[in-house]
Amino acid sequence: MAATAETIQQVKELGDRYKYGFSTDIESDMAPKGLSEDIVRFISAKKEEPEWLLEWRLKAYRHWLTMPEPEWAFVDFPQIDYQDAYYYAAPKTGDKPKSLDEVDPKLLETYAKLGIPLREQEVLAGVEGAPKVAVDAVFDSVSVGTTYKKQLEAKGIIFCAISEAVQTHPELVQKYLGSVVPAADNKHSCLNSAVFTDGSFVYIPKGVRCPMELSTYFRINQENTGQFERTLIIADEGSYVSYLEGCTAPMRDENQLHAAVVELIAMDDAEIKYSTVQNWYPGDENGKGGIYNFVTKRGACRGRNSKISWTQVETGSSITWKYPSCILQGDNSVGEFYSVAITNNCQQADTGTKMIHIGKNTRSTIISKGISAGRANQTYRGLVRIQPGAEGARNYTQCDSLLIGDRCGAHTVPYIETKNSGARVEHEATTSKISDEQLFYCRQRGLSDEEAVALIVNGFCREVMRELPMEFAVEATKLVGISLEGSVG
Amino acid sequence: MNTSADTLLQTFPADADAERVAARDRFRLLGLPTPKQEAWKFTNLRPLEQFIAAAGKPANDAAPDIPAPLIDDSRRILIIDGRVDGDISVADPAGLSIEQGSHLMPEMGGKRAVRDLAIAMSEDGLRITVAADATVGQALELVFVGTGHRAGGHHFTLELSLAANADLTVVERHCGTQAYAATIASAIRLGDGARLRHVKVQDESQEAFHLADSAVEIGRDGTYERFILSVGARLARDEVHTSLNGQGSSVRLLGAYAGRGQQHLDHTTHIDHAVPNTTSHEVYKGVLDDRSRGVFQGGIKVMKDAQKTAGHQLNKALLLSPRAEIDSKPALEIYADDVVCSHGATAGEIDEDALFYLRARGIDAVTAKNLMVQAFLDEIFDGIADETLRDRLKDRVHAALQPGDNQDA
Repeated sequence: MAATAETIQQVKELGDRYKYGFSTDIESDMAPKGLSEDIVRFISAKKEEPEWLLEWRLKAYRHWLTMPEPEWAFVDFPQIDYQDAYYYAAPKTGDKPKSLDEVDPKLLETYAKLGIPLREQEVLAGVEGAPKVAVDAVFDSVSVGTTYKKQLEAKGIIFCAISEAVQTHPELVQKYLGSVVPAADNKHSCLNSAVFTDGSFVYIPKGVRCPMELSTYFRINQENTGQFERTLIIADEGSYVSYLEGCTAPMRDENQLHAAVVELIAMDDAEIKYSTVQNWYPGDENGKGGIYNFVTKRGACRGRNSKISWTQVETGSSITWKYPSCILQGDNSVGEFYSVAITNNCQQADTGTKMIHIGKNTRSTIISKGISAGRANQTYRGLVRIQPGAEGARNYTQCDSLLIGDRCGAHTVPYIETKNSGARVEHEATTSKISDEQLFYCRQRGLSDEEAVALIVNGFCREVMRELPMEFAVEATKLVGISLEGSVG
Repeated sequence: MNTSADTLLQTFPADADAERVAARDRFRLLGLPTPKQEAWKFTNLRPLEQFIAAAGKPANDAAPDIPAPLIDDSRRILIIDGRVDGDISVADPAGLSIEQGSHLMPEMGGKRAVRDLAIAMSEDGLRITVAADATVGQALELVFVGTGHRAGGHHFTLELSLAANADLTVVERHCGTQAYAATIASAIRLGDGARLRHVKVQDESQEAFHLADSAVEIGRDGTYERFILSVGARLARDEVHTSLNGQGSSVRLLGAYAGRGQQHLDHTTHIDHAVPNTTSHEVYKGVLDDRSRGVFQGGIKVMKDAQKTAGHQLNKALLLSPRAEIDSKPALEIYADDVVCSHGATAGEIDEDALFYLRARGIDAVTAKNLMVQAFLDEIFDGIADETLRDRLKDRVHAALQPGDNQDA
């Protein structure tokens, strides 16, 4: 088939298409290589953390040593040498920057290349009335700048680096840190608990609707570093927040570990919308290099009528291991999971969600769209559990997979556990390829193969894309095109 | 060291052949599966272990109850407590041959605990073969009766081998009284163009344990149609591993299950689409009352190059009681792109609106509920061609859901 030959040709060309594959030469302040109790103490000391947090970290570290690697996921990679990485790397800027003007211009340049509206005044200059986005940028391991802080403070919203929150709002951090994802939850979250370096902290007070999107950009820059960020978002009664997360990394031959933990807590009538566009470096066409994205994300709908919505567009990372979940504790609470995952070349993704229905009349919706191309393997792994007390619970799950090329794989592993007769659970999944009829129809109307496939794939993903905030939707739609470029013919 | 495994292996024959010894050694090493193993996540064999530990006193010596045939003019073979009972000679062979003894095709079926146990410990077995191009008109009915006379358990191996273009209908029926543990390992091989209709009725005593493991291989254009009705046993697991090895081959797995009391009914299937142009169709429907628990694990694997595969899988469960539970894991593993695969799973209670509709027409609540349950399950039975058999099985499942079912011990 000519198309196959073309595909192979184009896949070959794809190697240099990762547009975020630059690294920035910035002097870094690094901890010695390797992992030990001393490193944990070092990180804690660097962050001038209180005693309880150090103890918490050490406890996690000691437990981590005893935990086996999780092996159930459908991913294959060599044993990680945890001693061969740096666990702390901070851009050296002397004292902490007071404002963005003091940040190393090279760093700002990096962010400019990333297209992050860190200097939003410029970005917004030409876009009258565009929604404002407050950004917290995390470079390697530390947060380098948070914007729009004043405006948020006026509303009582706390949006800052988690290391800063440890100093300024220790009571909140201590109360909620690890309350959704306990340190010992799994090997990767346990490692994160021991060595997490930064991340964002958000607290929305009672009844406040956050006036702008909050956003974090994560970037791994330094060679041989792991990034272990920790995000904690608390939406108090009746509040609302929409949070965006984006990630990129330079192209490197070796694999870098990213083990983040995200915890969301929604009280009565609160709503958290969490959107991710994950575009870590996926490795080259032969699977060399790339980020291991081992992330634990979980939200607790603690209050009545609360709602947590996860939307993710996963196009990067050589390996993705990620299951954003909702624990629906409060009566009438709602969990949502919208996901588009695209794997190409040698990428592997094992991703999905868990919806644990505990409260009465809890509802959850899962829409997962997987697109697998090249030699990639992708798995949807999901759990829907209806606990005995979840009277009137409702779940709808749809997971569709699209295969492009005959060397990729798409797998679906759903677990559906229903322990309440009053619950309704529906699960549907399909796997197919783009039909020749669809392609023919588009081509007949003058579209090229690539355009036709991009159109069909975007149509395939539409249910998820429309859940993204506007700023992200544009980027995500483009990413879908870029990620699949060359894989279709 | 797993003591239940040792107890189960106590009477291992000294003169066993190498294959049995290997099966025993594997079983002894790994023991009975536990929920820590992914394939047994939802089924805990602890009650079986407790039963094995407590066993030792054979129950009374009452004569076994032999049920009336499900197909009137079928050729019947009785297997009592894992031993073939009576004469099995075939007067009018017409291509059919039946041999006694444990012969399982050793290369088939993988190394699974239940299989290993049955192979290691079976004292008897059947090998049924149909010659090429032979159509066996008379259905074969294998009636397994458990009496609880044999302490611990009884084990059996069944081999069904159809040569090219052979055609056979088999009814495999399990029933009994008292408490016992029964395991059965089957190896089923269909040659090119062969066709096997296999109806299994799992109607074991409500105190019994039933563990079955079947390995199926289907050649070019072969067709395997399986139907299982599962209403018996305290804990039952029916595991079927099918490999579609020839182009144009197809498999159809249908299942109906009804659980009451504290029954645990597990149906685990795995279908390998190994070559292009193969088809699988799988529908299981269950009704669960009281504190019963249903498990459905379905796996479809489409190998690389197995293009033009069609695979469909569905599990629907109706929960009649607040304490009933259903766990589904319908998994797809796909390595080829030109495929159409789907799976679905639903769980819920009886539609209140439909009930209301019936009651508004003067039908009392109990009858209305029964009608709804019947309607839910009946669809599955349409897959059985023989009308008499279909009606008998329908009657059986509906009786099983009534509180006064005579199978209750």
